[in-house]
Amino acid sequence: MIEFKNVVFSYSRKQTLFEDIDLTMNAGNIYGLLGKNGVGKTTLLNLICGLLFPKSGECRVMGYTPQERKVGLLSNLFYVPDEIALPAMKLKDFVRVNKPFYPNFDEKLMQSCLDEFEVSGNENLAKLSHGQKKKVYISFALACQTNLLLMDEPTNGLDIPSKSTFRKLLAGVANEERCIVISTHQVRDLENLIDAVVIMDNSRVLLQGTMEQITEKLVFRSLEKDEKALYEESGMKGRWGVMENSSGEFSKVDMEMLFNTVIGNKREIERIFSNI
Amino acid sequence: MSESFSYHRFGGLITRYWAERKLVLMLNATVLVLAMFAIFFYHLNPENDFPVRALWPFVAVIGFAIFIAWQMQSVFYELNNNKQCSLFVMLPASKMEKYLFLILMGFVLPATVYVGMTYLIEQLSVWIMGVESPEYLWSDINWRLFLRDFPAMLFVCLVWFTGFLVFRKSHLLFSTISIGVFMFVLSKVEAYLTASFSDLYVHTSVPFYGLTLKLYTTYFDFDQGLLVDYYSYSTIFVVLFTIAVFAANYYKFKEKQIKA
Repeated sequence: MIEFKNVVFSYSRKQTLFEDIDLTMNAGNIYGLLGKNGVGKTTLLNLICGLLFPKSGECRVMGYTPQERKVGLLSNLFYVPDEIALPAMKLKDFVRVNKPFYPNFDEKLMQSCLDEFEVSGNENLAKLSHGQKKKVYISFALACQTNLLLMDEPTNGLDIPSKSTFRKLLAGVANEERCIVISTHQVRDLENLIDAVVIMDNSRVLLQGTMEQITEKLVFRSLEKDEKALYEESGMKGRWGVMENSSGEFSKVDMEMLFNTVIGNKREIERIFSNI
Repeated sequence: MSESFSYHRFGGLITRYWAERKLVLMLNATVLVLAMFAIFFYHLNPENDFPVRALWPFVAVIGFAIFIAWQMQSVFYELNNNKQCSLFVMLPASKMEKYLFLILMGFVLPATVYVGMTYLIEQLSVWIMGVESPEYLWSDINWRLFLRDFPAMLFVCLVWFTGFLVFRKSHLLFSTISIGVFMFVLSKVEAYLTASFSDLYVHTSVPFYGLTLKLYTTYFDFDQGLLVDYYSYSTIFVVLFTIAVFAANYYKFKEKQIKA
């Protein structure tokens, strides 16, 4: 679905943001794009959808070169940015004038998403709060039924019940033909939804893989006394840590611990995941 | 499905624009009609002396520029607003369709609406007042105004259009400053040429106005039949130049990158 080979990108000549990035994302997965502030998560999404162009290297998305912005690609791709400025018009008019561009647009699905988020079709978009705008735009994005859906911090601004609604709706539209990429800081919001991760650090991708691949290589469990881990946390339940999985033990991935492990043990992680 | 152009998608872009901005567009048109009526009635009033009455053609040309600038600002708003541009750029329409949409809504349609409106207002005012005046734009087919002053204004509008694609902010201001700098440099070059070549008659420095005139004035008598030659030559120059600028702008539009 998405293939990056030796992609180099920079905003200025002096400072390179991405150096030789290789990345592959497949259909049938919901990817979590994780990284510290400023590592280039939004920039990566912008490169995937063709808003920005790489300085060198090859980007292919569904067989297209994104920077050409071909209709075939754009009609099968939807991008939900973090900050959305919707026009001053009624929601139903917004849907009426924008849906003809998306051949698979499903009006019933749109209505069902709006009902779940408790947003009325008669609302004036300019008068909505940031969170409500997010709900409207996410509903529209899901109703477009594109095979590639890119979302930048989709849960920012959503209240607690809406975050749960968002997870439910996203799980409902995920299928084998669709690839969903979500850039987020709030991994707890999406922990049970994400089935593959891409973790970025300065200029490069540190880790990419599905949950199965990660649990094959790493184990997340409570630690014995004096047992050493790649990363550990102490809390009410005692010491929990992340270790290399040498015994084929099964465990559930804790996203925050995974992220901290990867960021704190770059070389070790590269070695462990070198054969993925 | 055609990748480069589809009437369905192009119509969709226009419908979308109209639905989003119909109130602003109707407000613009109403202000324009009222202002034009007021100015034209004032112009027709026999009590006003000639210099005031002669303002009508001048106001018509300046009004043209203001109206086009206003519409361009509106049509480029989405593209030059970082929060909104991703919605426009990511719309499933080809780059050609989006660019033609910008030209149509930011340039061609406002120009047509403006010229059509001046004609209607003039006809209506003349009919209501029951008077005639030699300074009408249309009734007396005063082509001099259109052929001389409107092309000069067209040049200004072309630079503005380019400015919306080239400059990141304050597009009208920066492009107007660019015109000013260009005119200043051109006038210096002409002054230098005039001083260097005694037989060269340099007429004026307004692009699309007198730029090509000096090619003829060396050989022909300006007062005897030169106007036809000048205008026919100038028209070809204007058309080719306009096409070239739009083509260059299309390249710039295709390469526009946005951080959303």
